[in-house]
Amino acid sequence: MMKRARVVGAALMGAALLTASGVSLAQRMSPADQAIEYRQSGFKLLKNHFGPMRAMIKGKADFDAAVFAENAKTVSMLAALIAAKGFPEVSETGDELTTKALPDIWLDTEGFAEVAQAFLTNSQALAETAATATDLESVKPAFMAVAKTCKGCHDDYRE
Amino acid sequence: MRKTHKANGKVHARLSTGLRSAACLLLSISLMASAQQLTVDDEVEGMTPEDTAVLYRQSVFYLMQTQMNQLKRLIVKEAAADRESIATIAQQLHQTAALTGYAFGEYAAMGFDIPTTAAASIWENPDGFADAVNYLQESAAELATVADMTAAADAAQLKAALIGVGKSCKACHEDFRSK
Repeated sequence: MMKRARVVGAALMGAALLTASGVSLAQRMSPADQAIEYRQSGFKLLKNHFGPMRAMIKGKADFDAAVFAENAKTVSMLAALIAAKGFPEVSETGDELTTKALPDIWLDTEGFAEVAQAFLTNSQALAETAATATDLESVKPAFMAVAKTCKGCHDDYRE
Repeated sequence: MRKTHKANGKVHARLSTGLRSAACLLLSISLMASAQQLTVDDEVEGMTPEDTAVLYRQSVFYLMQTQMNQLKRLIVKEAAADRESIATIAQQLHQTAALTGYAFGEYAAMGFDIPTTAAASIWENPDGFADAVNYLQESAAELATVADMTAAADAAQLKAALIGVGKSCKACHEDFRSK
């Protein structure tokens, strides 16, 4: 009983110390889970900034050149961020987290590098076009090119 | 799924509806016109705009946290040996910090289904919070400038700039994040 109380006490103290020193969630996650969380955070943001543009293209929202341009710029920034650090080999399988990323990403590295590069190039082009565009028609082709790279990659490299 | 869907009554109780609406309105006017950018996500099944906003915020902070950890390792532990990586990540941190401007908008206060450590003070004290956000963005911009490959800063200067960002994180967490 005493022993058990001591163990519980030590555990509580440990938990308190962890909290006090501000040890973050990331430090408790395994390297694989950290990498997956990073990737998924990036894609979550990407989706949030892609959505408003898609809504305008689909006619579900009025075209607002400034909002479109800002989202296009952010998507291009996130594309670079994800391409640089989003797919380390350790992130193929998670410990606590699940991922839809397919093993082909790390088997077919050349093919994956190609689609990643296409995504970077196309999102950069969209940001540049959107920066000066004043109507929906002029951003549509560049937007569709980005949407196509999303879909192509999801078809081949995502579950 | 690590981010469980649990009801968070505490957050709800802490903010009266009227206060919350007023604070949100103020914030969305004064800080950023972000609502429009966050609301349209029609293909996320079963997610409310509030949940989407909270997950957005948590994603922004996860990226920044990871970038800060990478920079700490590169600058402090590895004595700024890999200048190219430092420049790249400092630039990414600078750009990610700009996304905090979208992370506390109209819907972001009300993610009742997803636990959040964002404190009510964010929406009660929008001016103070805007200052804290500026502090972060300016210190991150400073670090990106110092870390730029053309700047040729030494390890001590990089470390000082990194500490500057760390201070802005800490200040905001003390005032605007609940434990």
